[in-house]
Amino acid sequence: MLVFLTAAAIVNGADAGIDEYTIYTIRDLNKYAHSIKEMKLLVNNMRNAVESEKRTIADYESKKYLDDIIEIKSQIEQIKLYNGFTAVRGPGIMLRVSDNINEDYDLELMERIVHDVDIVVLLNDLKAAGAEAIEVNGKRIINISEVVCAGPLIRVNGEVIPAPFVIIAIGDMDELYDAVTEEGTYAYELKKTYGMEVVVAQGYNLTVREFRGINYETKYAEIVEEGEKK
Amino acid sequence: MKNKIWQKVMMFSISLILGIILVTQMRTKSNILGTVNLDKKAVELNEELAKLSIEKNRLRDELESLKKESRESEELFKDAEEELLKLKEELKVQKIISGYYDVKGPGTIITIDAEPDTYLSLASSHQYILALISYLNNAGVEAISINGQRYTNYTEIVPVLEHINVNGVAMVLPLEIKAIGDRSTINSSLNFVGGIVSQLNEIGYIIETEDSDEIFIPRYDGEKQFKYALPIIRDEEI
Repeated sequence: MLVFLTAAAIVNGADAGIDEYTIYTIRDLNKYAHSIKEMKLLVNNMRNAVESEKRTIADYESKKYLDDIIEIKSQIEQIKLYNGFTAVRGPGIMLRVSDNINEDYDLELMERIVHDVDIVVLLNDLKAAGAEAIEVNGKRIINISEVVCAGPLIRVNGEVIPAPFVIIAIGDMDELYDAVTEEGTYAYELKKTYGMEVVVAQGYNLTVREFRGINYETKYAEIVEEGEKK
Repeated sequence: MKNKIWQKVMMFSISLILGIILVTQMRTKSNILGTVNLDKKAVELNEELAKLSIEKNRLRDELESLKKESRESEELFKDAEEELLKLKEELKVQKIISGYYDVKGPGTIITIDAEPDTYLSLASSHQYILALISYLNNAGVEAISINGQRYTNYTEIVPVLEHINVNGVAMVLPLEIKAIGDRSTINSSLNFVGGIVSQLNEIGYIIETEDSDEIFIPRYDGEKQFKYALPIIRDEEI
């Protein structure tokens, strides 16, 4: 009886299938379960990262200021045209002024030379005659342009130019022409009284270059906004 | 007799213990194995792990390409931001030059007047006013006004009878010319020997200059429209 029961117990124990293979399998199963848990966490984190990256991109896309840039660029183009920072073409006159080179003993040497102020006055006369764009020897004249004496030369927009001075003005051809040819005008006086060479020609399609101060900066003036007046 | 009883008790006890062991072992076995086949479970788990691994790799690639895209977007955004700032600055500069906006800043106020009891025709000295403006520009000033009239790109100074018109507005002495810019440069551009101030003094004008930390120069209220000039559009600067 005792022998039988003991044997049965042994046999039963062996039959339980807890052999080496089963033990390894169970261990593997535990490992898999653990790995899956970790992997799921990882995948989840990565999904979140992908989502957040997508949001970041969408954020940048929406803030690219494209509309603002287009809008401000068109404003700048418009204002530049009237400020003289854009080359223009149109009808107008070409005026050539140079020193009196004749040996004219009635006139002092200084009176026979074209001075900065002569050019300044001619430019003003052209403006008064409605000139929309003016250049002198390729230098666009705008409201911040200087036309000053620089020894035997004249300095315009920071660069020196020599005589003869070739002025191109765009506007009403006839009005501009009259402003520098009619009796009593400054140009007429330069020619008749001081013997300078003043040649005027009209043109239907003249070109006036843009102001070349591309890097012009303002350092002192600031805009006073509406309602903030002194 | 006593020995026989002892033997029976022992026998009973051992049988009982063995029985308990037997039952426990059987129950443990069925607990561990459950009803599922171990191998099948292992294959399933392995498959799930493989799927997750593929998903992980896919996400890693996606994340990498998204990060690259995000870096590019950020760069584009920063470029755009920078460009916008530059454009805003350019627009501000153009607005100041245009004369269509009120401006303020440090500068110099130049007053032109005649000696008492002397008569000077402002009209016949208008070229001196023009020259003065030219020399102010030579000093790099950013805004000029003459008796409150802003000097714009289209401002002409016209002698009319004995006075002058600036922006079509008649002006008589004294003239007050305001300029925003570097004060010491303005002063040295006007006050050299034979310079514009001494020329004006020579013909009888009194010039007073006063520096100020803040000058207000009003805008020009008109509007300019071109009738003749057309812009030449160029793609690139020559």
